[in-house]
Amino acid sequence: MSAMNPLSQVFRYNLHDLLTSSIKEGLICHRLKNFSSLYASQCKQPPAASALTHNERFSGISPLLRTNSRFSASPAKLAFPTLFLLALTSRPAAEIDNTGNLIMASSDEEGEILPEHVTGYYFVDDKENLVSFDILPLLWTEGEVLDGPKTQVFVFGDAENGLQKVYKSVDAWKLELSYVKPVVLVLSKGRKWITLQKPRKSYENTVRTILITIHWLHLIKKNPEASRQFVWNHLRQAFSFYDTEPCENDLLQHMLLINQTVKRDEDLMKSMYVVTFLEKPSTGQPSHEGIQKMMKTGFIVCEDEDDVVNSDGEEVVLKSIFDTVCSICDNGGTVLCCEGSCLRSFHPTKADGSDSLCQSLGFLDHVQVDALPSFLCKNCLYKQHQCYACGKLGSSNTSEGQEVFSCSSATCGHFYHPECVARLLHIGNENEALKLQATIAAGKSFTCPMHKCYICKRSEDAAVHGLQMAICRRCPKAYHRKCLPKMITSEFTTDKNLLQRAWDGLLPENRILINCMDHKIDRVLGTPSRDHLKFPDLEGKEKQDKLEVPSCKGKVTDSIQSMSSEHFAANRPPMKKAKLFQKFGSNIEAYNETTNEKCSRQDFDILKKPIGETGKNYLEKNFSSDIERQFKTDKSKFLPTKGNTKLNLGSAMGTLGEVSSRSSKIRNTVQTMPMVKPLVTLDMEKGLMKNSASSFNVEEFKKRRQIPVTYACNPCKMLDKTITLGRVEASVRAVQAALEKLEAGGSIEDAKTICGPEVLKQIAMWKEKLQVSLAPFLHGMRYASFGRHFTKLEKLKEIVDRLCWYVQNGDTIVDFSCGSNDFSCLMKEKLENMGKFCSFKNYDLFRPKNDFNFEQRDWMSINLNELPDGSQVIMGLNPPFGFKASLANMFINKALQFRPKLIVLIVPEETRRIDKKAPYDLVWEDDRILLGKSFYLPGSVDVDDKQLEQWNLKSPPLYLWSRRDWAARHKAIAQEHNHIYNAQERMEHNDNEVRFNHLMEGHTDGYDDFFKDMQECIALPYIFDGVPKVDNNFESGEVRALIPPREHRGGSFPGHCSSSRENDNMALWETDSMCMDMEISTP
Amino acid sequence: MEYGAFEEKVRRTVYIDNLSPNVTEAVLRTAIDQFGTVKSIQFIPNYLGPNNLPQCALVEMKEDKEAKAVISVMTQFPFMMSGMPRPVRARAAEMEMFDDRPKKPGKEMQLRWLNPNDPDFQVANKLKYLVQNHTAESAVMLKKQLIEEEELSKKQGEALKANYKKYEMLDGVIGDETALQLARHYRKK
Repeated sequence: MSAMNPLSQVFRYNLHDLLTSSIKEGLICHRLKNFSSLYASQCKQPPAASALTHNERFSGISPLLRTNSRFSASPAKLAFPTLFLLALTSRPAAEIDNTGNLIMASSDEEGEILPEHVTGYYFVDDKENLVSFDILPLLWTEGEVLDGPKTQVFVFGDAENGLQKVYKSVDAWKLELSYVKPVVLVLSKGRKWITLQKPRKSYENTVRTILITIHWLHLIKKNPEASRQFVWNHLRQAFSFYDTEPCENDLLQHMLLINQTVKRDEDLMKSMYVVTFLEKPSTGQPSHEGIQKMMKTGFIVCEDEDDVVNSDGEEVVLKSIFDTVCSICDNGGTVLCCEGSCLRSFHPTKADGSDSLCQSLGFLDHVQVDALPSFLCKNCLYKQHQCYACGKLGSSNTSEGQEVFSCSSATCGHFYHPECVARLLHIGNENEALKLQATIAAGKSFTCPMHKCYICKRSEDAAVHGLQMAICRRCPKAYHRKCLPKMITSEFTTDKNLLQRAWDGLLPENRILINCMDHKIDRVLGTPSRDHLKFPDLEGKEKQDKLEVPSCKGKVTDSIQSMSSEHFAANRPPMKKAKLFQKFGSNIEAYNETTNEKCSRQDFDILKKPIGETGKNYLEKNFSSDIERQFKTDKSKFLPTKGNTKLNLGSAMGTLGEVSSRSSKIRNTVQTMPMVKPLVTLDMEKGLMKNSASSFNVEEFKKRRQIPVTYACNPCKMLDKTITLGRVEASVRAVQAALEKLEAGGSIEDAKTICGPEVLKQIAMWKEKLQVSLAPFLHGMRYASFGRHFTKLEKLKEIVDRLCWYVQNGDTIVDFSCGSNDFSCLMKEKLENMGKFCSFKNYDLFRPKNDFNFEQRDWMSINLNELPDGSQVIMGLNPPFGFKASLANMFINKALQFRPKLIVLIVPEETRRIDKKAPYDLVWEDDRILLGKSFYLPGSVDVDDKQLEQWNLKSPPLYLWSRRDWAARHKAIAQEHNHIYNAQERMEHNDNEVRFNHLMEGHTDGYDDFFKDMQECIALPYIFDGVPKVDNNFESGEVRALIPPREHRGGSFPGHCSSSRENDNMALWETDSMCMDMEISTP
Repeated sequence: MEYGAFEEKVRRTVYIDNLSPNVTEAVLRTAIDQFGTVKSIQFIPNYLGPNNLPQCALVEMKEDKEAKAVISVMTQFPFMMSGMPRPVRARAAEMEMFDDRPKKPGKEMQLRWLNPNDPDFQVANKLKYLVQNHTAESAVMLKKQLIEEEELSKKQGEALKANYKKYEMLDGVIGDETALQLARHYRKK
């Protein structure tokens, strides 16, 4: 180190410059890559270097190795001056100055260079325990005196794109909220600040709450106006990779930090939300729910599998019950699920699996992945699966020559040779094994040894911590947590002989992922060697990594070529000039005769126009360049003088737009004319495509199409690729197998191994999701709208008649989702007749025909100060319902912020009651008023071109809610006008309803016709091929349940009307929660 | 003034394209009518192309304000009409879209024959080639678009079918009470 030549010294700084600045800006990444490959080819040292870094990553990290962090800098000494030049020339000078100085200043006497950023970081104390960085003192201002930290804390991590390892003792930390992203810096012993970038995966849970707090503060600082809901929606997205959702509870641990930050920050002081939060941090609804949530995830299995829309209307998307760990590298992250019966997931791209050096499926990027409608791994494609016991491939084709059979457990997906699995299930009992082998080979269902503990042979009970399973990723061996051998440890130790073999939190249902002692852990990979996967069709070493990589590109270019050559051929016969002229003359005659006079007159008028006057606006650059090119090629053939050409060109270009806009008319003549030359060549076509592609910016387009918040959580989008065919099949088979087992006298425990209650729940959930996503296709044909449903005018009149008694002179009536805006007009008319004068506010996303007091706004974006005081406000009426009334809840929550004295609502029954979340009393509710055809689909017509009407399977009641301090007054009014009807009436009414529904059945003919006609006028039959009509009730976005016809004509669901199936669904949900209860109560 | 009235009409009119071939006037009218009063609808016929091409139409509103509203709504949100899984596009109409537009005042048009040695003959020729070229180009692009659309719709159809298959399976197991029975068994315990 000491004898360093000056040039290399300089170079070293520049190397670091380059690296750090590229990391910092993320701009020069590609350059960095080139650079390092060049680097590698020239100095031949790096392989060793990278090996070391990997070693460090996976072997228990010893401080000894770490202190050698100079290592990564040292190869730079070997670098050549050419490299130095490269580094110098490729960067702006100012930057060199900047970072150069910085780095020089930071290098200590030994020439060690301190990183500015550290990624994949984690902190440990002097006892090697993981600690959160917030145990360090927090520095507010530079140069603050520290009262020496109680414990020594070290930061570990990678710097400079993994080229350097960081191992530093740190003293303090600070927080920067003013940038685009919150920045956390820690102060190293050398008094230098290091920016923390991404925590190491295993460290994420340790810093979860503090990171949430920091992001929370940052988000509010940037949006002081933001509502609580907004903040948490964003945080939920930002922290979606955690198992547990962020909630206000997480903040409670860091109240001190929040308090201090708020005190020092004006922006935060301004935020209403922060102020209220600091006043009452623990009483808020979300935090309350947060606690519940935490409890649930703590004690109840897979409660969190539930796709609940919680009462705040926010959707909670949670982990699946299926294994979401990459089969290649045994790490989580972004994975692609195989559609087939193997139920596996893989990292699609190398980037996704970079944490675990995963070879991945080898897709280049996510565009490629998204382009696939579904992914099928080679095994499932060729129906050749590996036996999980012996590892050999065998045919899993059920129709012929099946060699391997899949375990019948719904979530397992492993295949076995009957012989292998029988031997494992009956160790040392040859006879039993043979018997079992025969039954399995005959196609009987079996559960593989993975579902019983290897030690105690008892099954899993996911609700009991000790009985949760630890499952080996390489062989069918599983242990209970309590039975897990000591050698298989998830502890992070420095003992080199004891490598980490267990990882908690990766697998669903609280299972532990292990690599049992039969497999040797590769120190570099951190897992056993990754040759465990065999795909059919490939030989030798390539077996494990070569998977299907789709070639989407080839097709497209092919089609271009074939098309253009067709075109080429069609236009081919080139005519001689003279001939053409002759033809042209005769053609004009024909033209005049055939087309109408007006048109031709106009066309010729254009010819005479001065250069490019009218046409200019139409001209697009891409066109003109094409024309120019075309003209140039033409020139030699047709044009005698050059000067003339230019003039002609100009005029031609000027008129081009107009001419082409009427090309359909002109085509008449074109087609009768002989083709002069190949008009569109391959080159030109490519140019055309390129131009059209370049003028279209996908990002820009998406940005313009930003969907308002109320539509953002459209459940249709939730229909992701995780509902794979394989999973559905496996679950369905498991349900059948489990029932069979029970009926054959098997124990409940066995049945549950095959198909746990969570699978039943999953099935119900899937069904619901699929129903939602399929609905638009089945109701689509005559449906033109944004899925809105308006209340019919006569119903509105009834409501107005009732509501007008509660309105006082001077009130403001707000319709937060006014639709056609009829309500406020009716209301105004009625009230003016009664001598009351009120103001009105109407909001909606779409401008209605009648824009009386209308404002085109998203209700969620209305600020508190835009409306008068709540005691003068009456709000209503018919919000979009959304999936499980989620949108309705959102609208109501927003409305409650204004504290209106009266809220009138048409919402489905499952909407959360207002009195549960705010001091409001129900004045009355009426579930009769909206029975029958009370709604219509705006903008949609039926076969007779009449407005499409609609009624709900369960009519939404009309509610009148009153703020508690007004409730007595409103109830008196209700009494006076007989708006409340008593319980007995309700009973009678229920009877009526039954009869009413009965009557309805007689009327369904109209709807059947509707469906029939719908099918008749389907012009894109292939979309609907083989898809019989589903007339189940559905909820799509804010589309509410259409009543299904009771009788199905040729439908595929014989004998089951939707309402009963609805009940089935309910029953499944209920059962599930009930057996959950049972499980908790039994120790 | 006839021309003034026409200009007025153009301002009030919305040009709508990418309409499914199944859209009828009534469907279109009802769909647009929710944003304003539709005065008239004129489909722009396509005599030469295949009949599965997307249609386009000129929709005249009562006021130009309404026309603007229609355009803003349709560009802001994907608007589906008649179930075709492609959103309808809307933009302001332009004069040249009307084939029955009146003559612009103060503009005289003259027809005359051109001799091959007339310098204007070259201009006319040039234009003719251009038009041919553009027709060919647009034909290529249209073909390409149709191919892409068909691919997309095939993909969507496949996805739909796949989903439907899953749905049927799930429905089977829920519908024939297997799942329910199993649930009951679990509850019994």
